[in-house]
Amino acid sequence: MFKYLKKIALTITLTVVALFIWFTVSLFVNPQESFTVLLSFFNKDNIISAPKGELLKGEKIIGSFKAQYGNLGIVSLRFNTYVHINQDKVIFRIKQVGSNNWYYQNDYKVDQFQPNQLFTFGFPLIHASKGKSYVFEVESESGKHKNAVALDTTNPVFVAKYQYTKSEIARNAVTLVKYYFLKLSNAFQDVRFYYNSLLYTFPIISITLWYIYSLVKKGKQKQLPRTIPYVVAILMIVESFLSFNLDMGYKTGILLMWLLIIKIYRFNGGVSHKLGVVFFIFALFLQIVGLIKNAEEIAMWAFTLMLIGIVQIFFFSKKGE
Amino acid sequence: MLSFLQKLLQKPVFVYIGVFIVLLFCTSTRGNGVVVDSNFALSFDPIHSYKDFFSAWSNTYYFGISNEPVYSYIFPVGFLYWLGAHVFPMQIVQQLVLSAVLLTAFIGFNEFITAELEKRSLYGYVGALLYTFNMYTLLSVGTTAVFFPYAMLPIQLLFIKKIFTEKSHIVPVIGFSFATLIMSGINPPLSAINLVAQVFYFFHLFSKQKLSFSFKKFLSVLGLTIGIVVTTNLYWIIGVIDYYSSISTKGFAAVLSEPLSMQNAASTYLNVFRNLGIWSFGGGAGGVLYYNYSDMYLKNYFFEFSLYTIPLVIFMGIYIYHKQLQKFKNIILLLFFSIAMVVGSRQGFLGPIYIWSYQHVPLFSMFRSGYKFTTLVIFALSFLLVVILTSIKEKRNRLMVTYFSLGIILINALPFFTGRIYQQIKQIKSIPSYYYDAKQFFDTDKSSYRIFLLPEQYFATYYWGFTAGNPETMWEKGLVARQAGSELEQSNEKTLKLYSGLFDKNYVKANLLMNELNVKYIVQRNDFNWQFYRNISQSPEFIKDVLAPYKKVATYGKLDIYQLPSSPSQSALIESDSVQFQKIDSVTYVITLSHISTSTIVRFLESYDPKWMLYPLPQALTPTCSTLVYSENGVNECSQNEKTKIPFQFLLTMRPYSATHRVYANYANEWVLNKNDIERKVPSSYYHVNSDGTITTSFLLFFKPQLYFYMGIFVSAISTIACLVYLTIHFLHKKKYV
Repeated sequence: MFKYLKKIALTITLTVVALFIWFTVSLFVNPQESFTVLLSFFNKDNIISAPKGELLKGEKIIGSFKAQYGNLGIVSLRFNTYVHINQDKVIFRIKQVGSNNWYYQNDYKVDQFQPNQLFTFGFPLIHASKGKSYVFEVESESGKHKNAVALDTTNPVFVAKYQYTKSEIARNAVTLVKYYFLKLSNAFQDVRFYYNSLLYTFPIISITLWYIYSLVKKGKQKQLPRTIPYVVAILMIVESFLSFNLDMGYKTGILLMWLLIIKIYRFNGGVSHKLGVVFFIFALFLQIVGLIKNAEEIAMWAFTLMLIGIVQIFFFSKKGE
Repeated sequence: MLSFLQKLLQKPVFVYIGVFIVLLFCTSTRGNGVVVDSNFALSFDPIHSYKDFFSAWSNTYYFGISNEPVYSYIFPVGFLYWLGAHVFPMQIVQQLVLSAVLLTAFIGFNEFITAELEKRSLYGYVGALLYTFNMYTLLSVGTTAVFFPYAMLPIQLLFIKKIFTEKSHIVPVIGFSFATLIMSGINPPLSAINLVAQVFYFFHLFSKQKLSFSFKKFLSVLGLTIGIVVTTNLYWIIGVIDYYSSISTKGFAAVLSEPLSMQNAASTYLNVFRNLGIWSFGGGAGGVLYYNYSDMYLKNYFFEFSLYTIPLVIFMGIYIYHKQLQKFKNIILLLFFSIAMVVGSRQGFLGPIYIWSYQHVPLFSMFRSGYKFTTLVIFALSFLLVVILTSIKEKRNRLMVTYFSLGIILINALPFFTGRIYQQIKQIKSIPSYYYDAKQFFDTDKSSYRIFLLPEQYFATYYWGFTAGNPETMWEKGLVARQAGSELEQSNEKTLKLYSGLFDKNYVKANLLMNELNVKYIVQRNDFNWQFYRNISQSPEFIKDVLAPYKKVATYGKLDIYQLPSSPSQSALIESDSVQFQKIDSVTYVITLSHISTSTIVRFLESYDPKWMLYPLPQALTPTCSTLVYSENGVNECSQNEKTKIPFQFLLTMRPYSATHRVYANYANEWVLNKNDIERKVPSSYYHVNSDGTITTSFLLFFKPQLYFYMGIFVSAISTIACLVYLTIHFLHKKKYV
């Protein structure tokens, strides 16, 4: 009994340490954003109005959002430059919704905009921004056909950034831990975090594989919960519902998990194929309800699963199986 | 009644006649007016299209649209058009040809599946109907170059089967080579896609049939097949090989500079599951969709989901009847492979492999337009549908699935049956007469020049109709216009600079570019539907404003013609101090240089290509010029009536003259010819020494690959005739002994 508890304690400790390594190293080593900055991502639904194509003279891109945290100091907006160096100037303005006056405004030359990248509009920090709604405008001063930028609707269309000071974060141990988890939950909303932290998932993946391997080696597949295949299938669905695109490495990770499950649970091709067909039908349902992007992702999994099933059925199964 | 219908269905010939009648009905315009694609209203020159089609894209100095939009109609289908046009009006010829091609797809598929199942089944017709009436055929039937390979694929596969299973190999080999000839390789990626299907089928054939060929016999059959196919199809094969093997990396970049993502931006798995690569299905401009029925299939739930049902039935059937399908596993693999190829780099786990192959596997880049692989998806789906239907044991279930499939095919092919495959907007009764009037204007100016078209276009969209090719090509002058496609295409680079220079009223820049491009006239098309591509085209008022500094020299209907201030490079196609030239055809010119004392420069103001070559011409072959039709700045041009043919024998034996050939004005050709050099390299009978010590000599300026094309046509023609003779003897002999 004691030996069993010791083993469980060791597994939990190792898992926690591995997770801590993954999170902490990812936050501090080559981060996309400073530890002291939090981000909110917004898609085109938060754009109130924008011209369909080029932002011509006098035309405006208007967006609004609700600040998730305090210390709002930057709005980064994604532009399409048509791969030109354009000569226009734009005016950026921001204010709280309902306010009569603009809180800040400044003009920017668009020749510094990078194609399809977020351009940063900075302004003095708004300390009490949390929970308040803001509206911003980007107006063209002299944009004309063939010499203008446009809004790029690739997600995220714009990002709000909140800047904290070191003294605010490290005031005491409680504020530091609270901010650590706040930053962590914030980082998980950023697809770049996953990409950058790929390397640091090595310990947790190793522990998981070691655990599965040890069970398989002892012939204890039956000890593996029956729910694991369902969990992986749900992971595929969850991945399809994330508001951002995961890096292909993570999708590959889910795929490898499924292949491992086929091996461990000795699934025949029918399981993958049937799951693929179910996903196909699910994709159609999602399309009906208007979740096109999610439907596309589910359809990708449907194809992949059906392909795995087909290859198993027609190329790896014994006759009569 | 039902039994009579069943008996009728047992006779394929009656079914085929019935389908042909339906097809004629579908392709008729049903009182919507005469549909004449602008291509047909134009004269075309199939033989010399070779230069434009195979080589114009091979360098970065390609300005605007090709003069030959009719490449799809060259041999042998072009021959059908030519023949038919002598008997019927062109729109009926078009209707007959399209119906015949669709019927070929239907018959080909049914016969192929019959051979595969080794029995004639009524369900074969269901597969053949799906293969003939679907979204791909709907979208492509008007673009015959895209459609021919698709229509010919089942017949090709049928002949491959016959080649390797029948005792007599030669007849099916000839059949296969003729099918390939009709398919035509004018669109190399599509031919390559057919080749992919053939490779899959080849493996299927060998794994299923367990063919017991000796290696020696296998090689001999394969050699015979390749030999006959290559010789009968040499005219286009030679072009493809020359094109792909001789272009530089930079040139290749010009062809492929269109971003990979552009071609398959919409081809997701979900879209392929409904048989759509959606290359342009959901596309449009100015709020008008390219296809008038797109909206119905994209927004109406009933129609939209009807597209998914047959693939869904097949995917489920693959698992349920996997034992019966075991012997067709290569076809199933072809289905999944093709789906992944349609999606390309857009999505999924195979995307990175696709991109890697695109970057590293030679010639893989020709598949950048993954949409074209939809052909194989539909082929495999049609095939598997038939096998699944024949595998359903219970009659009631079988009939239920059959009627369901037929219903879905009918729903998916409604635009066929309701006369919507041609769009109202694209129906052109005739090209306005002022285009012909403008042609007369340009015909009177015998100098060689290009015409710059405004407003900027994506495709040619006029208020009187949308054309596949620009009607301005009838003026038979080089046109400067934006290419449909990405702004990033290198072929658009110079043209777009010109547009932006002019629209910014930077006339110094615009004039410089127009001089470089040998533009003499600017045509403002006031009949252009500029609002269709609103982000690209400009309003007539805007154009009129920017053209204000130029001199308007003529107005024909809705066309305003402006002339540029003259510049030296606008005077002629060929420049030199003392030169007389005669145009034989678009790839052959005779240049006569008089009184060369030291060195002289010859400039040829066509897009630079190293394959333009100078050949010394014997005095005996030098055409005389008695009637000058154009003379300016020391350049003389003879009357077109004095065209002289250069003997083919001479073309075969001539040797190129090695002179410095370089790029002039960033786009054109320039040679430096030296008197001493000519005397040293050219036999004395080729030039005349004048009394003052100078020499007079002639050169043939020739686009060399054209020679390969001539040779290819010659070999193809001889080979085809030989095959026809063999077939005639074979069938007469067979008849005699039956």
